[in-house]
Formats: sequence, C-alpha cells, structure tokens
Amino acid sequence: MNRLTINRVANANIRVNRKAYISLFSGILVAVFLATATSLCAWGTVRGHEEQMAQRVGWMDMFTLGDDGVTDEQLRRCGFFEEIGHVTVNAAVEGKSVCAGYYDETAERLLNRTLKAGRLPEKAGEIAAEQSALIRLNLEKAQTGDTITLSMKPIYGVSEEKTFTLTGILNEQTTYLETRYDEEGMRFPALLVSPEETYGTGGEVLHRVLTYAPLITFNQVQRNCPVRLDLAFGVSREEGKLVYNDSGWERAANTLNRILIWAVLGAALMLSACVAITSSMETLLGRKTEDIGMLRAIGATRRQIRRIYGMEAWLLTITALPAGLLLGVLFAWIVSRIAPDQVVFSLNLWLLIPILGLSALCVFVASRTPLYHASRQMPMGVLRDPALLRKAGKLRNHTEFNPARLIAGRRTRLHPMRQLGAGCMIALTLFSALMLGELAMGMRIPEKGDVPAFRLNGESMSWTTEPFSQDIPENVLERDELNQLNGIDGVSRIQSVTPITVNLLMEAVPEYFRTHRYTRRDADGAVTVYTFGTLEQSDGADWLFWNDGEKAEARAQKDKDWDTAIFVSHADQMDMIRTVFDLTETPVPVNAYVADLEEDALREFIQDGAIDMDKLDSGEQVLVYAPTMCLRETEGILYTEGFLDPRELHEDEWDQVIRNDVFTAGMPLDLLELAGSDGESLTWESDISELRHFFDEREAIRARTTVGAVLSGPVRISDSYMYSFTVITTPKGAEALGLKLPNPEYVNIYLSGNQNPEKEAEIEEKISQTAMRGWMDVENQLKETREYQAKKLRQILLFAALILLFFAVSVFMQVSGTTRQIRAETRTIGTLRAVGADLKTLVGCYRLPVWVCAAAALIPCLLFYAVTEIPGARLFTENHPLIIIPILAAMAACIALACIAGIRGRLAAVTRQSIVDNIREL
Amino acid sequence: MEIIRCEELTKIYRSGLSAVHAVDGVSLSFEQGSFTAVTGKSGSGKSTLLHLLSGLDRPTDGRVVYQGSNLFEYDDNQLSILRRRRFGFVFQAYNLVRELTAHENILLPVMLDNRKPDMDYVNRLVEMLGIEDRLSHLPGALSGGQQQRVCIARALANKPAVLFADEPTGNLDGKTGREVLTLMRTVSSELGITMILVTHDLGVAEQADRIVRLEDGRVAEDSLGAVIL
Repeated sequence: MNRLTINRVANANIRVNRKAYISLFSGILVAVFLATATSLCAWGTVRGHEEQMAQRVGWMDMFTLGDDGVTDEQLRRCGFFEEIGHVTVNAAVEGKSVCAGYYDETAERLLNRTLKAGRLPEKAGEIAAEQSALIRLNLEKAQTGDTITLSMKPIYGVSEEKTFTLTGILNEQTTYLETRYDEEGMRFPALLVSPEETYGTGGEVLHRVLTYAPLITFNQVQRNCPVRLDLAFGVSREEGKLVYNDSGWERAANTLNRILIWAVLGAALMLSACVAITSSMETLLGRKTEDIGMLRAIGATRRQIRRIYGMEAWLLTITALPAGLLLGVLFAWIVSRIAPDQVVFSLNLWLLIPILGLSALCVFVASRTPLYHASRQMPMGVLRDPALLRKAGKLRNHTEFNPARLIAGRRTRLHPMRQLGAGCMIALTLFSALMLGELAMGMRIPEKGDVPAFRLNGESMSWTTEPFSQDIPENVLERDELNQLNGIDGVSRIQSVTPITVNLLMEAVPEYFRTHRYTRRDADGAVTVYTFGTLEQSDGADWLFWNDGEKAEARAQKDKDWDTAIFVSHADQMDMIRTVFDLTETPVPVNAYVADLEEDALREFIQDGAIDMDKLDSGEQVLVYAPTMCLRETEGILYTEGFLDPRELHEDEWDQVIRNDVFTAGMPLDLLELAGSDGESLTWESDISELRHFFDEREAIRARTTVGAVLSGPVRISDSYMYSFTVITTPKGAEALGLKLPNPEYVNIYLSGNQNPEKEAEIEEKISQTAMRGWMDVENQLKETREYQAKKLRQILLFAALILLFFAVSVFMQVSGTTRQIRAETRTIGTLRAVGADLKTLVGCYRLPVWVCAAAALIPCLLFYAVTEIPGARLFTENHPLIIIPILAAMAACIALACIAGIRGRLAAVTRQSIVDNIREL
Repeated sequence: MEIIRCEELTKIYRSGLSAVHAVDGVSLSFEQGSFTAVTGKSGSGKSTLLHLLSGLDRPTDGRVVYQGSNLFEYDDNQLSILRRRRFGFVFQAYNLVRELTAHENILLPVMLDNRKPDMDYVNRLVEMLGIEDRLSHLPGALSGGQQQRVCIARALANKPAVLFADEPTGNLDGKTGREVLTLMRTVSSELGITMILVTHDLGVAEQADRIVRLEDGRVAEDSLGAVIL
C-alpha cells in the first residue's frame, strides 16, 4: 500500500463520514483557537508590560556613565552591542545634583522620553524638566511657558546664572536610572536643553545607552567584553530598574512568571481540547472497527493503520487552521480592548511558531491513544484476549460473591491503566482546589494600623566605609521637612529610623566588647573558627584591645592575612583619631539608632533604669541596647543566641556567654560622631597621610549624656531588630546632642483611619515631594496591599474557574471513557441482563473503578501535605490538613458521584434497548 | 400442566419503508417438563420466537403468559428477577462474562439473586457436564465446547422452570453436540425443567418430545397437532 493509496483512503473516509467528523473538526478548531488566543494574549501581556516599563527606562539594555576613553568604534567592533546612543551632560544645578544635557537621535529613541505636557527644547534658552527635578529645585509650581532662572554649574566649570523658558514637563525617568554615583555629571539629565545651549566654562560628560547584540546579557558584557567598561549598568526592561547582575535567566523567569496565568489557563483549556479530540477520535475509530479489521485482514500494518487515520486528523487540522487563527486573533483583540493596560494587541509572525507548534502538539498527543488502540485492534479475538489471560493467571475462584463488585474489581485489576487519564484529571482538580484553599487563606487582610500606609526608603544613604566615621551625603532632608510629614492632614504619625555610627569614648575598652572565638573541628579534621561578640564588626574587633607589641606583630603579618590587614587599618585609624582630635580615651565605634520610639514596645526589655521620653528628647539620656550573647554546640550543630533575656538565662546550658557587666542606668556616656560629607573613603591600604587628611576633613561632634535605661532581649524598633550593642535616642534627642544625621533608612507613615482614594493620592503627592527632595523612594503600601489582594483575587477566580473546568473535564473524561467501555461491552451487559442483572447491578460493575480513581487522585494531595509536614520543607502554614483533606475528599466524592450519575445515564440508555439488541453479534 | 404460552405473538422489524415479519401471529403452549424443539430454515424466526418467549425481547404484538401472568406487563426489574429465578438461557455464542472464571460464570444467576448456591447441585452439574477441571479458567482459555457446557451449567444453576436454548450445538462438532444435548436432556428431565430448544438440525430436533417447525415467522408444523400450514 503506497502513500497515494493511503491518502486516498483518508480523503474518502472524510468525504463519506462528513457528519461524524464535525465533532473531531470542532475539537481541533478549538485547539487551534486556544493556541492562537493564549499565545497572542501571552505575547500581548509581555509587550504591554514592556511598553509600560519603557516609560521608565526606555528600550535600552544597558548604559555607561562617562566615556572612560572608550570609543564607539571599539564598542561596535567588540560585537556585544547593536545600537549606541549618546547622552551629553554639560551642567548641573548648583548644589542640587540635578543634571542638564541633551541626547542624540539614537539615545532619544532608546530612552523613549515622553512628555507630560509641552514639547522638547529646540533652541538655546529652552528647557524641559522632570517633575521630580522641579520639586528638587523648589519649582514644583512651574508650568510650561514659565521662565525659570537657575544657577548652573557647567561640568568642571564655574557657576553661572541662566534663564530658561520651560517648554515641557517630562515623564519621570532619571529616578529609575539613578545609580547614586555621586560625581559631577554622573547622572542622566533630568533637565533637557538644546545642544545649542552653551556655557562660558567647563566641559561635558558623555554617557552611552546601548542595546545588546542578540543573545548577549549584562553578565556576558561584564565578564567577556574586551572593551573595559567601568561604570556600566544593566537595565531590566522587565522590572523597569537597574540591575547589577543579569544572566538573562532572571529576565526569562520574570517573563515566564508574567505569562504564567496564560500558560496555566492555556494548558488547562488545551488539555480539555485534547480530551475532546481524543474522545471524538475514539468514537470515530470505534465506528470503524470493521473497516480497520478489514484493512488488517488484507495486510495493512499497524503503522499503516495509524497513518491512514492519523492523516485524517492532520487534514482536519490544516482545514481548521485559518478559522482557528482568525478566531484567536479576534479573541486577543477583544481582550486587548477590555484590558488595555494588561494586554496589548500585537501581531508578530514569529508567534506562528508557538501557535502551530502547540496546535500540532495538541492534535498529535490527543490522537495518539485512539490511533494506538485502533491499530492494536484484533477483530477476530474479542473473547480470546491474550493480555487478559496472561494477567488472569493469579485469579482466585470465588464461590460466593457480589457479581457487580467482583466484575468491577477484576476490571480494575486487569486494566489498571484504563482510568489513568481521568485519575490524573481528578488529581489536577483536587490539587487546584488545594491551591485555591492556600490562596484564599493567604488573602487575610492585615489589621488596620499595623501596616504603615507609606514607606520612604533612603537605602544606601547611611552607608559608611569606615568603622569610626559617619558619611552625611548631599541632599539630606532637613529634620523639619520630615516633621512636616507629620503635619499632613490625614497622617496620624510617622516613624523614622536612622542608623548612624558613633564612637563611645572610653578610658578602657571593656571585656564585654571583646570578640570571642569558638573553634570547631569537624569529623574530617577541618578547623572552623566562629567569631561572635557584642559589637557590629562581624570579623572581630580585636584591634580595640591591642597593645603596642600586638599591633607591631599584626603589622608584620598584614600582607599575609586579609583580616589582619583590615584590623591594622582600623587600629591605625583609631590612633589617627586620637591624634587628630587630641583624645586620651579610646574611640569604640558602635551603632546608634535615631528613631521615633514607642515606649510601650520597649518597656518589657528594660534590664535597668527607666525610659523617660522627655529626658531622651532633651538629650540628657539615651537608651543602650546591651545584648547577652550565648553560644553552644549541641550534636555538632552550633547555636548562637543574642535575644535572651539575661534574667532568664541558664548559663550552664551554654558553652560561652557574654554578659553586660559594664552599662548600667545613670552611667555617663561620652559620644563622638565623626561626620563628613565629601564622599571620600578610606581603604585598608590608605597610608598615614591619607588617614590624617581624611580625619582632618571630619567634623567631630562630641556629646555627653547618661544611660537612661539598659535594654536586652529581642528589641525591635519599628521594623528593625537590634542585633549588636546600640545607642538609641530620638530625633529630638539627637538634635539636642548635636548629632549630624543622614537621611533616615526608612520612614513609616501611618494614616488616621481609612482615607478615600482622592485624599490618599493627595497625601501621596505631598509625601512624594518631600521624598524627591531627599532622593528617597516612596512605597505606597496601601496600594501595594490592594494590588496584592486584587492579584490574589484574580488568582482565586482563575483557580475557581480552573477547578470548575477541571471538574467538568474530569467527569467528561471519566464518563466518556466508561461510555466507550460500555459500548465495547454491550454484549456482556446483554448477557448479564439475560441472566437476571438489573440496572443497579450493571451500574455496580462500573462504579468501583470510579471510586478507586477518585481515591487514588487524593494521594498526591496527601503526599503534598506529608511533605509539608517535614521540618524545613513546610511549604504552607495556613491550612490545617484536618480541615482541607476532608474538603478534598468531599470534592473527590462529588466528582465520583457526578461520574456515576453520568455512567448510570449511559447504562439506562443501554438497558432501554432489548437484551437481544445488546447481545446481537457485531 | 401448561407453564408458558404465547398468544398471537408478532415481531416486526422495520427498516425504512420495508417491514419484516420475523414472528407472525404465533400461538403456542408448553407443558411443564416438556422438551420442545423449534426448527425451521434460516430466517424463519425461530431465534426471535425464543427471545420473545424468554422475555429477552419485546414483541410488536401479542403476549407471553408465564404461569398466568403476561411477561410484558412486568417492569424491567421484575423481568430481571424472573429471568434469574425461573428462566435459564443457553446462547449459541455462549455469552460468558470474560472477567469471571467458569465457576463464577456458573454461579452468576444465583449470586445476582443474592442466594446461597446449592453447591452439591452445582458440583453435580459440573461433574455431569465434565468441566470440573476447567472451573478456574477464564472463558477465553476454554474451547467452544467447554464454553457451551459452562453456559449450560449457568443456565441450569438456578434450577430454572424453563430452559431456553438457542442452537446450543450450532458451534460444536457432531459428537460434542450430541453429548451436550444428551446432558441437557438428562438434567432437565431429572429436575422437571421445561426445555425449549431452537435448532435447524433435524437430528437434534428428533430427540425432542415435540417439534415445532416455523416458516416465515409462522408455525408450519407442530408435531403435537397436525401440519398447520
């Protein structure tokens, strides 16, 4: 039988049984439609998100700040980049870190600069600005057409007054591209001027915006690019922010995560389409038993049978393609109209690959089983089923039995795989229900008042490079500005936390500050040394205790050991501080927290003294967090604990204990803050002259206070736990002590009661203005919570829809599978009826496998809970198995009952025929 | 004493505009314990008559009266109960349940009736039919003759009042066929079972007490009476 003949047989089959093919055609059409619709919607979601993010970070892949002597030619030649655009910064507003400059054509396209109002500058004397820049320049009221005068400092030049006409307000972008690299001109321009704008002095800095060549990632550029790029930053178009590490996988994972909802929905629906195709094909091929038998009798091989009837499915697929594609495109278009923010309607020829691939996969997978069954058919051996006889070897003869149960049991045992598909589907349904339960429990709304409505993040502003000094960057918010947040109508209170470094001036460094070491020898002889102590220095503060001899010894060792080199550097800094500031005491660097304190929350941790807020605010007193550090090794595992209340501590339970025996209430404290704002830093290699220069430039703030109360245990201030020795005071107290503060690490802002959306937006606007002035980020946690809940709700609805769908598909699969079985076994049914079986008995013959299937489907869910009960592997904590498992079991029972009702209906239809019709020879 | 009779029994198969009278106004009465052979050419309606008499099929017209009651006034459940308690049926194609062993197939009607089987009787049947060493096999592992014997044992296991047999020896060679028939006769006469057997084999029919010959769905000859047609 050659290919032509097979094709003819296939074509003839379709022509002759046109009506019978309609259901199969419909299944395939649905599969193509679903493949098209989900592919387009997934692609539209990715595009929609990218377009949103492009407002923030444009279409570039990375950028470099400053040209570092690298030429465009070098960059082009290295093969890592495709497009290169240039951003020129030629000035900054005096003392404000707001840069001005212009783009070339490529940069303009890659940065995707859009305007809120007005137009871009076209000639000298015109300027367009971001709203945040205007706020930072205290020009928030400025509108397009206004004339503004700015003191511009050209790069490396002399400041000059310039008057501009404001031609446009730009959408926010530089905030998202902020690297916090604080050198002159090393920012993207938030003020756009015309290239014709010139200054009397100074030069310019050139930044580049780039796109990668295909298959290049930021990490590859960093590691392998032959052109050395010092200040290169990756841009995640997926997240709309800078990235410092991007292997490409993160982007792919994020994209996958974004389209997950479509993937899950698509997979579930495609699965249903597969079931429909399988079922239609089984039915169709079931009707052709005699044809297939005849073809086999005249010598057709199994492969040829599969090809003949498989060809039908492929011909139908080709026929269904145009209509399916068209319907899918229409669906994606409708979705993009309904949710334009989420899905963008975008056609791309490349999408044909997943569409055709998915459709083909669906048809291939769905037709495989029916074709396999058809090709295995042996029309002459209905009764003499060799597989059945092989399995029957171990059957036990029953003398008394329930016929329905025995027959059903034998069937389940002899054909265990028959119910596999339906079982998997039921398991999927139950698993979806399990997930739904978890999602629903995760929806719990936090108590009002627990969660701050807004949070301002200062991030790295308080970062220090040396143990003794405190960096105070430019653009620090005045304390008054922060306090004004409290005065905004609708704000109930604010809570700011500002960690700084201060030095305790001590006559002698107490043993309490000594770093302890615990040496452990593993079974294989490897020695590990653990350090632990009450000061923040994680590697140890041994240098605090060095005498001259020890210091000299360490200095001799410093080239061999990194830790020692650092320690020597710290000891040198300590000596220099003594010299420069003429100290007799030892400066011990410790953490200090300047925070709005809640007295009630701290009271239970008081070991000594009392909290007097007035005395704290006046600077007369500070609080001291002096932890008790404990360590023990039990069964080879090392435990350290710093949160124990010393009053409840059993020292015999621990191998090593460091107790506070120094700090008591009423003890005087001498504080020294070494503040600097020049952005300079020291390294371990800095020599004596560099150290002297560095500390000469520091402003030394000395303050004398007393310890009001000593705290210990799990002390938390706002969101931060104390973990090492810390001096604690209030912003007012810090001010009274004269301490200089950087921006807070974060500020939590609480609202009084529920505010309506307009009021909330108004409050957010005011908070944002303050935040922008201090280069801080604003998180609207109310909005985030709402979005989170909306997202959860969408997921719940999706899961609920999926469960309903899976439920229907499970019942359909089970019933259609059993229907096929009933059809094949009509003669047996007739026989049973002839010997006196009623409908109930007949239903009994098919009921057991359904229950077995439903019970088996529960197993994965039970296993899931069993796994989550393993310590360390617990995935979910919200739902108790004793609640959820009976619910799942009830659901499995519902599915089984629905299936049995369907099967009963099919059997009732069979019994409406006469027994003779049932047992009539095929 | 009459146990079952049919009155003006008619079965018409319709296909489009044409209609085939498979059984056409047949009225017959059967005495308890009698052995009747229904014969006729292929397509004469003998199997259809047997199906109608045993309640396996419904007539187009007429009725079957079993011990004074019309079978076709019973609902499906009542008919099922009647079939498993009072009737036995031997099929030409054996029709054994392939998932059950020979032994389980034999006990099937008793078990469907939720009764305890009379194992002495069943064992005697099995012994008489010579299938005691094949009892734990599935039907697929039995020869045609063995399957037919299992089918006969199943039909007799519930000690029926009437045994219907549709060409019970049709698929068997002559010697086996004769053996099977002899067995059926022996058991039936021992238990006083009324036997109605359909066959086109005159040799088989001759063993019966009464021969009914059908032609085109009508009784052409009844050896009790004279030639009717």
